[in-house]
Amino acid sequence: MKQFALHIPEGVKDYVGEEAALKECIENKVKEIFRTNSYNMVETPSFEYLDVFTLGEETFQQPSLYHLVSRQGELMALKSDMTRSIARLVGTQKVDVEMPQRFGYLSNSFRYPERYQGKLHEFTQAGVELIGNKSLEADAEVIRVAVRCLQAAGLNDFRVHIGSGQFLEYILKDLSLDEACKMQVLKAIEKKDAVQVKEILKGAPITTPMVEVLIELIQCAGQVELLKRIKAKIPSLEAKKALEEMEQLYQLLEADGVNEKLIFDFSLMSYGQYYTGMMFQIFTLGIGSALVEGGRYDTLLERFGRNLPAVGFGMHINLVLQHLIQVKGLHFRQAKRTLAVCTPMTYQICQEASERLRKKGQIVENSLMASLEENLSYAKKRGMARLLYFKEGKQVDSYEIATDSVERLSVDQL
Amino acid sequence: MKQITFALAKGRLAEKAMETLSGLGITCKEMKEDTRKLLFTSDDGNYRFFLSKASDVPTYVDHGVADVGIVGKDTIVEENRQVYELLDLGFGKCKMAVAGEPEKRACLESGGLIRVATKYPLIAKEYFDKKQRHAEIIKLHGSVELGPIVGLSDVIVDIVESGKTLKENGLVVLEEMMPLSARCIVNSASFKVKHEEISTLIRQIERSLEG
Repeated sequence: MKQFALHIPEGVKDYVGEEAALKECIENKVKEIFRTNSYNMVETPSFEYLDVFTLGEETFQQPSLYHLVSRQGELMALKSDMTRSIARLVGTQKVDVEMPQRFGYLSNSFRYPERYQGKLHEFTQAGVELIGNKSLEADAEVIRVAVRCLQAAGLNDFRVHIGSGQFLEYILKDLSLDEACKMQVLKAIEKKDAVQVKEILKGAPITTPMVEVLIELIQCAGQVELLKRIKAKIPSLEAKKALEEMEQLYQLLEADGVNEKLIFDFSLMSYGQYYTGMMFQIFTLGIGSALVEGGRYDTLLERFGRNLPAVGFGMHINLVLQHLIQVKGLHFRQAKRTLAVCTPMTYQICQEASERLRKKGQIVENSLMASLEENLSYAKKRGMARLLYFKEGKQVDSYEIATDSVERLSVDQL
Repeated sequence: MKQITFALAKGRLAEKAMETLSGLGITCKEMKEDTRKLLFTSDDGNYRFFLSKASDVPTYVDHGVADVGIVGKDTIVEENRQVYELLDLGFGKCKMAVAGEPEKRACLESGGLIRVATKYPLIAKEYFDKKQRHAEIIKLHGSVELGPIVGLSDVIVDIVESGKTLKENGLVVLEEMMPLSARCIVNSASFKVKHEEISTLIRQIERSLEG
């Protein structure tokens, strides 16, 4: 029989030791960026009514959610997406709350992929939502915060791919495709099936040079020059305007050098129907999906009874962690620790001295072993920096573990 | 340039793919040698290749350990992974079909429960769901033609190429489901971070297919 008590289910994991420490370090750095950019941390329930996560979706059946049934028979789900929880939260606020509002979060979310895909069902996301403002400055701010978070976490080799959710919509409108054909295109894009998109467009009862442009766009990404080149090719005024806004966004981000990380990306397949304006994804080498996904979603809050524009992003902490481990390994974070060893006679003086060091931010571990030899070998095995042996009175022997050297100090010198 | 890793579906697709690539000047002597190696590097060092079971190709690409995969459309649909499908390579053409004994046509159209044996449960389920027909799917791992012959199922859902195997076993195509061919799939992040390399490659392949 399987010993369930000694197993964990598919899709979850334990974080221990250095990995846990690194994860916490990333989380703290990200939270600090949120705090200093004036984003207020929010915490929402781990489970809520199913409707929060399905409102406005095509069907009530959402197999990717972790469902629960309350004792009263109400359908609920584990949080799958903080954005929806925050939208619900804003929906319950008084209508006269000052706008814009800035929310930050760090939270575990739950999703059911298909079985045995080797993907996490429980994952940690950090993100922000800037609600109640529809300006390019707000878009730029959110991108900037995402970039700063990754940099603070220790990443530098990444690229921000920016696209526009409206752009595709405008182009499709301009092509005067019929509704059924448009739906087919959007569905194929959702499935990331470029082969089918091309087939539908080639088979559509329209022949304009725009179809060619659209097909070209499917695999198109580049620097700001690309933006200008495409703008020249496009007759649709609305689509042109969407591109102009992207250009302005680029200029805003030039101010602090974030623009160097930008790539304009028109590959249609990254468009979801969720975003209503600017959208972006951040990628790095060696990680098979986006580290950060975000954009403007001006219609979501309407579903929760508040007609408010919003822009935000979510960052996959697990992927950032995976990347840092790939690049830098785990040992690099080994913090300097001190092992404090005392005798029955020096117990009090040892505790007092340790406490003083801790208040200065040092890591001091109480020894639970008696002999000095045992303690020295323990400190060595654990990779500790030094051992303080409170020998008698105020006299302390400070052992430098790496160099095997000893220095005789007085407690007051510590 | 950044190195590109290919996952190729073992067998004829891989051979055809290497043929196409060598037409572009991408050759790999290592692969032609009879070795037990699993991972091969192209002669110019710019590409790596590995061969895997077809149904694993989308998995490798989804996780990003392969940037590009070459595999049949049937496998892509069945595995249902988050990968970009960028190119129809045009070879390995065949179709997915519902097949059975000719007299099963009535059963198929009756609206009653149909028992379907297949290696492609997802494709079969989606097809019958869309047609609003009740189907009981029975997953098999090979020689699905046996299903109707020994009475395990009413019909099968499988790839049909020439129809020879069906004919020899007294089965016919009852409904054609979708055309299939080899496709080029790309990991969504690779397509971003190695955009220059991958889109150039895709364009070259596309041009060589047209030519």
